[in-house]
Amino acid sequence: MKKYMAFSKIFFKAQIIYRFDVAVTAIEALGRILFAWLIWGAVFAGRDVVGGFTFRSMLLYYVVSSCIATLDICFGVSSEINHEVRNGLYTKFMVIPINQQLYWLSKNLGVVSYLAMFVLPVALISGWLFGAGGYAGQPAAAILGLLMIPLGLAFMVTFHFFIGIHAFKFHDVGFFIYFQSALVQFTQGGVIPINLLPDTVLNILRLLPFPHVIYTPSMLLIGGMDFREGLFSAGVLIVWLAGMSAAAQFAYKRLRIKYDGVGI
Amino acid sequence: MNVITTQGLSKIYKRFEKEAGLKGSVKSLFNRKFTEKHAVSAFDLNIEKGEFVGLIGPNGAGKTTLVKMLTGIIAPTSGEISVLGYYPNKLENAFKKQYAVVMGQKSQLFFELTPTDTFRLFKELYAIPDDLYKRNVGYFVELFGVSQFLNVQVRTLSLGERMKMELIVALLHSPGVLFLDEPTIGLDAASQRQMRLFLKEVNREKGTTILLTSHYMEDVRSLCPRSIVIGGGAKIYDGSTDNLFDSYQTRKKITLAFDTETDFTVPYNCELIDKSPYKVVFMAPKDGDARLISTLAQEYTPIDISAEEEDIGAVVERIYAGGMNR
Ligand SMILES: Nc1ncnc2c1ncn2[C@@H]1O[C@H](COP(=O)(O)OP(=O)(O)OP(=O)(O)O)[C@@H](O)[C@H]1O
Ligand SMILES: [Mg+2]
Repeated sequence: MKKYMAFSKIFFKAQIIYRFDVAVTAIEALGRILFAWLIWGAVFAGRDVVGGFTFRSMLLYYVVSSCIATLDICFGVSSEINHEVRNGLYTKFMVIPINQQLYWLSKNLGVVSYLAMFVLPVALISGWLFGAGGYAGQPAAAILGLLMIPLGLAFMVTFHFFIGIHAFKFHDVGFFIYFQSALVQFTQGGVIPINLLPDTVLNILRLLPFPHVIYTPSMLLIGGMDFREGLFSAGVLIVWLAGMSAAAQFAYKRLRIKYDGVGI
Repeated sequence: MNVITTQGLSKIYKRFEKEAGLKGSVKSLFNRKFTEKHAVSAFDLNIEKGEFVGLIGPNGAGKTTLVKMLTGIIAPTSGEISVLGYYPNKLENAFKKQYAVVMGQKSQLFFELTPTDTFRLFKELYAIPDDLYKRNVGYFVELFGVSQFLNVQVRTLSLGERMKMELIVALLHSPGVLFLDEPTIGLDAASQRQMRLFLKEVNREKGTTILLTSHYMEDVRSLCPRSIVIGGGAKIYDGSTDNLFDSYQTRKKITLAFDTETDFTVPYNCELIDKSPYKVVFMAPKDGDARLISTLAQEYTPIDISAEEEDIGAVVERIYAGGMNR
């Protein structure tokens, strides 16, 4: 475990020194919030409640989900693996004594911890601004929401690891990455809060992992979802995380044997 | 003790082939044609602990493929293979901790990190004890004179500077076997020399078994007592490096300079390369060159006479060609 912590620590440090652009991404979250203010302001014009949200709670949802979305940088995992496999650079990971999946998890942990330093203040300040009138939800739900964030991110990293390593076989998984990103964004609630969707769709979605990465923890945090529903979601997420980990380990073992070391 | 053993080792790549032009592309969408490439065929190899072996051969001969199989990056198609008693493609951690590979073409480093960070990471990865780590880093950094580059991002290093770091990183955990695939490619003469000194020292001091591929014959000649020549995936030669070059180095280049205009007749069995009234250059058989030179000295009274080794490139060409015909 110590070696994986070393990866997290060093990639965290590498962000501080060189990656000003990452900080910019985080600050971008603020921009998105302002944008949301304008858009939802127009939608709510003259109305008190839309889809069960008040204007304030809608904004709050937007702030919290934007912050979590900023932390979700797993997209880079699949594209980086894809790129490295294609160019024969992935071999560097194959010949050193590490578990590949844990490597990507620990690297992301390092980068995400860095991002969190920027995101957290944004979240707290906006929460204080829009959440005026006190926190309405259950404290247990909020804690569960917080706990679900790392779980969800871990799932996304594993999922993208799984996609990325298919480059061993297909040589280029750019298309898969593109295709899944549209789907995932929608089901994550990054486009619109999911509960605005019809019930049948919702019932299918709650069994998928993606809504529980951004939507569910956001709702739990703003007090828009009760603890029991949250617990069910967390269960779904954990099952998916375990399943995806097993699938990724299995796929890696199988796929890397097919690998011909292209590009070297 | 054998560190590396292979028997009848073969690798066949399947490659997808497409006819030229747009029509060919469309056709290949529906009817994929695969061609098989026998990159390494029935290769037998035995390398003992502490050996420094050179692996040479023309482009596409199968050198890198062999290294990829020995390091476990790819699985062989057939045949037996054992490195340090392991089947490489299983990629067990216990195996990976005992070897290192450096590819001149492909970096093993993390570009966003600094060399110091990279060293620390590898310390954790390989659980290198503190004192050994300090000693190794100090020793290698000094040997290569790279202390001024330790705290900059790897991506900003020049090729030569980076190659030195690659080698240091590869050697930090004191691997028993080191695979080097063209480690001196693109390096300037001074860096090449430094790299050679370094490798020689590592092989001698630490007893590291090294398999080196290179297109620079100077690397192989000065480092590897034993050479293996591979051509078209098959072994052509395996034995002493000196014998290899001697047996193919059949000619010498002889140059004569005169102070008066001289009409020179090329001796029997020699090939004229360049001729002017004051200077003549020709190739002579290596056997009996001393006698030839003294005869010429008496006959023409030149002001200068020299005999040089034949250009190494020509010798190598002959080695590769000889193997093909054999
Ligand atoms: N992934 C691959 N798929 C299909 N064919 C391959 C693949 N890699 C290599 N080959 C083919 O196998 C043969 C041997 O390649 P290899 O890279 O081992 O040569 P090499 O001896 O290292 O050559 P060089 O001196 O140019 O580096 C070549 O003809 C090459 O075209
Ligand atoms: Mg090669």
